[in-house]
Amino acid sequence: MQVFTPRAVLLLKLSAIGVPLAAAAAVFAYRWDTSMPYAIGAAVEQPIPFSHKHHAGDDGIDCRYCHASVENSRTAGLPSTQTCLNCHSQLFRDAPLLAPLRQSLEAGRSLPWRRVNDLPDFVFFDHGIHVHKGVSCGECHGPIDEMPLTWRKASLDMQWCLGCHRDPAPHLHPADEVFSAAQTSTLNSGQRRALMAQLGIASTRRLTDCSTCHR
Amino acid sequence: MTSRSFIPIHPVDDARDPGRRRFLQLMAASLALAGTACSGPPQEEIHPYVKAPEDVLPGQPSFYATTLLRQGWGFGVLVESNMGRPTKVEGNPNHPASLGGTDVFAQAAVLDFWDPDRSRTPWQAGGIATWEAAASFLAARAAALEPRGGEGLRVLTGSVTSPSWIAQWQALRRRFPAARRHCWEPLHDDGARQAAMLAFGRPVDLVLHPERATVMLAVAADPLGEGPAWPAYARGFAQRRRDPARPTRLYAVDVAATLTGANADERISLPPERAERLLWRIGAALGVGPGAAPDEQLGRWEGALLQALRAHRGEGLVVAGRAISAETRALVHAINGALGNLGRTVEAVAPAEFEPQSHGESISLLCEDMRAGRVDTLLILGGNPVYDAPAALEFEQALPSVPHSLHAGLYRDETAARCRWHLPLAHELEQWGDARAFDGTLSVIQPLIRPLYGGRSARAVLAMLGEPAPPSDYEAVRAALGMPAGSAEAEAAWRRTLIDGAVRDSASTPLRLSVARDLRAPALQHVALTAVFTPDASVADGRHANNAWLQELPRPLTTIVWDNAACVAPATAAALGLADGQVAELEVGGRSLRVPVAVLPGQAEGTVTVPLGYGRQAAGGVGNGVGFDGYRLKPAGFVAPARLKGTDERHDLVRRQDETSMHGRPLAKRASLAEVNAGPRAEQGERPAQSLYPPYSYPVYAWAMSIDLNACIGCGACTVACQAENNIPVVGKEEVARGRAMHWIRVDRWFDDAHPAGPMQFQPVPCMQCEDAPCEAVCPVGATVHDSEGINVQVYNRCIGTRYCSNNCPYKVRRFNFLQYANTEEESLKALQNPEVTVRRRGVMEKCNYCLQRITRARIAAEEQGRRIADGEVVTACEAACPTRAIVFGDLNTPGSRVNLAKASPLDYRMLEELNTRPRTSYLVRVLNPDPGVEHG
Repeated sequence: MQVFTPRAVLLLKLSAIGVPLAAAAAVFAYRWDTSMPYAIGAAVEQPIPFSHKHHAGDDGIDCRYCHASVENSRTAGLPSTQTCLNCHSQLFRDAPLLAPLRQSLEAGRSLPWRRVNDLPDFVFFDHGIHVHKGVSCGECHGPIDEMPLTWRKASLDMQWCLGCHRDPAPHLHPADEVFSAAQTSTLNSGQRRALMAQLGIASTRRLTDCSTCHR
Repeated sequence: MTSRSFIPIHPVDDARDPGRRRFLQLMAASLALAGTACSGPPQEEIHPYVKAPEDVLPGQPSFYATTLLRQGWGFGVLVESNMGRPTKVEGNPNHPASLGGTDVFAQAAVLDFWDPDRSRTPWQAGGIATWEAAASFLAARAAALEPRGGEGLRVLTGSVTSPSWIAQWQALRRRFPAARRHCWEPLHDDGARQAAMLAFGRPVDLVLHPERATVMLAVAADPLGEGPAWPAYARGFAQRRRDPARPTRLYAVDVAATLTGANADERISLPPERAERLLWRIGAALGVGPGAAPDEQLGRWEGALLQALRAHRGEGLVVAGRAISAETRALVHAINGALGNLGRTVEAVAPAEFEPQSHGESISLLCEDMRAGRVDTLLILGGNPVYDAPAALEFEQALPSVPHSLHAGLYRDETAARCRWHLPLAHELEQWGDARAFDGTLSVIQPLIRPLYGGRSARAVLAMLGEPAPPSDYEAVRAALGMPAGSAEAEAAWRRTLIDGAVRDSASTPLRLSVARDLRAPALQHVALTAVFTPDASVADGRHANNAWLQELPRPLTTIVWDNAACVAPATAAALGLADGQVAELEVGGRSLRVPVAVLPGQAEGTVTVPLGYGRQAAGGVGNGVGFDGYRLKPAGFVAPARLKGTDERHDLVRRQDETSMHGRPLAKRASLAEVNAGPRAEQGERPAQSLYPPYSYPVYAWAMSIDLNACIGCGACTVACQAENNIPVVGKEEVARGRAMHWIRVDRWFDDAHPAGPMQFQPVPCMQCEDAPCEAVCPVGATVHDSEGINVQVYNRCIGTRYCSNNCPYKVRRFNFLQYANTEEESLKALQNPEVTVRRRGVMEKCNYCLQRITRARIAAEEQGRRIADGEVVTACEAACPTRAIVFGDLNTPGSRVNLAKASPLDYRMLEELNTRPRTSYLVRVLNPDPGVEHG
């Protein structure tokens, strides 16, 4: 005697395939929906096509000239219109590309830049302490001096943060290397140990506490 | 009294329950919506400055010294600004009224400021108008009135202490000699002024020095809970009480139950006339006044009190409050004089108020003139007389007879609605100004932000009466303080003043006055029931009614939230057949009102307390219709004979804490000074030595807290400070009734089981940060974990809302977001949030984390400089706000840190020690000093 009708069997088989497929689709949709607006390595269009390659790479302007609060605040800070005009009131002053800058000054309205590196609001990242502890700009921001338009280098997910917080030594740089696009530390293991001691990083226990970044 | 609670546990009202079905419907709908509303992280924009201001470091808060106004008096504070947004108020250690601490109103000031219900535009005759139109209206009135010398021009203000405003008014009076100013401050203490006239022959302000007082007697007065200087007084009082070398004793005679009475060593409750007779007998014993008939029930108490006062001449302090007649309060001055206290513990100074006068008479005259058509133009600067003027004056009915009425205020309130014109005033955080503190100290009001809604100061409104070339508020303040721009010396003084928040050494010099000795006793009659009108601990005179933080803050003695209630003593309730929560008909002077009754031990028999400030009609979305309006019954004074009759209606009074008794468990411990002096105590008891949990190691820091119950007076400033600092949402009355209040630090209040009317016990309870935390063991997702410094951290992004942790917490300090409580929609409330703390969403558990953001800020600063965090560098929000310095926070690994010193005290104990949770937060036993001469049976 047949327990299931052929119709029921077909339905069962179909759902055996369909349910996992739907689940996978749901996961995919969720990932897609909650992922960042820009993919890693995708250049973000800005109101002015600002080139870090030109300014930081070719001209060799120090990061801190524009990102002035990077050493003593949680945000690195974006340059004010006035800061841009310190140079651009002389150089390329009539360039059509810089029209938004001139409008910003005239109207007294700020220039809205698009955020490239965005962390969730429950993560409290502080630039100041990272640069004080020898994390170079390039460790997180990548080869910024080679980016004609800025893109995101890292996934910025928790796994990625913890990669460094669990084992900081390979990511630390001597003080003169911090404000650079250096992405890999050139120190040997002895030098790394010395640097860790100098920076007062004795254990990674505190670095991996939830309360270090979440509150 | 048995150990049963005398206030019934809040009943769960089934009729109000929306029902399971309805709840599931809503949940299903919101789930469906949640699916559609979810979209990935938004594309964020960064808006840099056009021209960066010099002193702003993006991402780092800065602090400005400024002054908040309390019925005209200045209260100095430091306000935290996050990139131009005022987000948090701290006390100003350089200001005499604050001394670094704050009260609840200062903490809640930022919510007042960001309140979306604030008035946003000028109004004329019910429609939106412009400032230009208002200016031309005022200029036209000035032109019309000038030929008559300003006759018919009336200005109604509250108490004024601002030198710049006074200068402006005096200049205006030269132009309009017939113009008159009236004063109305609903809580103004006319009786104090009258008493000073009787005793000293001139008006004075009193400056108290509880820190110098060995014996203090407060009669129907609340120096530790109310007034422009109570945080400073409470500080001095606590400082002495904690000093074991110099024991003090506070005697309190309460009419309405007060915080001062609750914190007394010896407390009795008497109806006003018996309290006054007691004072007259004390006076007679000290050689002043005619005396009064003896009161047999008080014999021993009175004798002991008198002996204590006599034994500490020059170190005693007697104060009497609003419920006491002016004649008797004059006697109190004479008693202080006879005891040699004047000039030592009580100082008389010239009044800070401009043209001190009786506010009751002043507004009564105004009403008379309004009715008689003698008022052509009435400018109401800041007050709300339609709501709070004495009911018998019928201010509201008189107002239409004024052809040109203008109201300027923060809100479009009851008065604004009935005036021809309304103008939005600027908040203290958005204007330049000045004020005097209770002791005369000049304080500067410094703006932190440009007016949100284009509001202007009262000074600027008055200047529109066609003042030729009016100076800006800034110039006027500098001129009034004698520091005009120009000379380098004045510039230096001005900069120093801005940093300090107050002009150095500007306090009034104490007057040397002789006290009249021929005092006449008033006719004291026995009244069956006396209504005592009091300011409310949360809304003051009603001006804070729209502040949700304050509405949800449990009133210190009753723990009632979102309501006021007529408080009666248990015996009075029994005599009148009233039950807690019953609605009664309260009749005063021929007017009656239905009020809910709350039974409150410590209240005098034969009195009913009527907290003012509720029943607002036009306070805003939060305050409208909350509670009943006591002003409808209030006469010019603060006491009146009353009748109270029960009805069969009931009102849901929601208390944060229904329980009144500790049921014999030593949660908040108390000892007498004699017991403490008798020998060493073992507060820690037998500590269970074993633990199933492996021990943690804390190599760097180990954070801990000590709360001194001896200093805590139960004011609740810590609760509001925590709310402001940690973005804690309000939940509303019904949710509090369900036990869902979100406060991270609550103040438990306990009555003495044996003497409910005696001193009370307050105990602030934040998360205990247990070493062996029961919550950590049960979280299935590791959302609550121990960190390497001993803090029991709550990780919101991991939390899935099982609430196991909360079930397992013996201290009940975990709070769950049952609904989306945090307001993430309202623009101005977004700006209020502390940017260093996550705004929690529905379904997430939260709790105190020792202000992790403050620890982090200090840690980063210290690490950047390659040093350890110093003791005192991390100050939690509750610790900073506490006016009595009851809370101490710090690192156990720093030898000699304040918290280590506090915990080394023999009075140190941990709550529910026997559970072996090993809390990091511990308490110091409260030590009272009851009078051995009084029978405590």
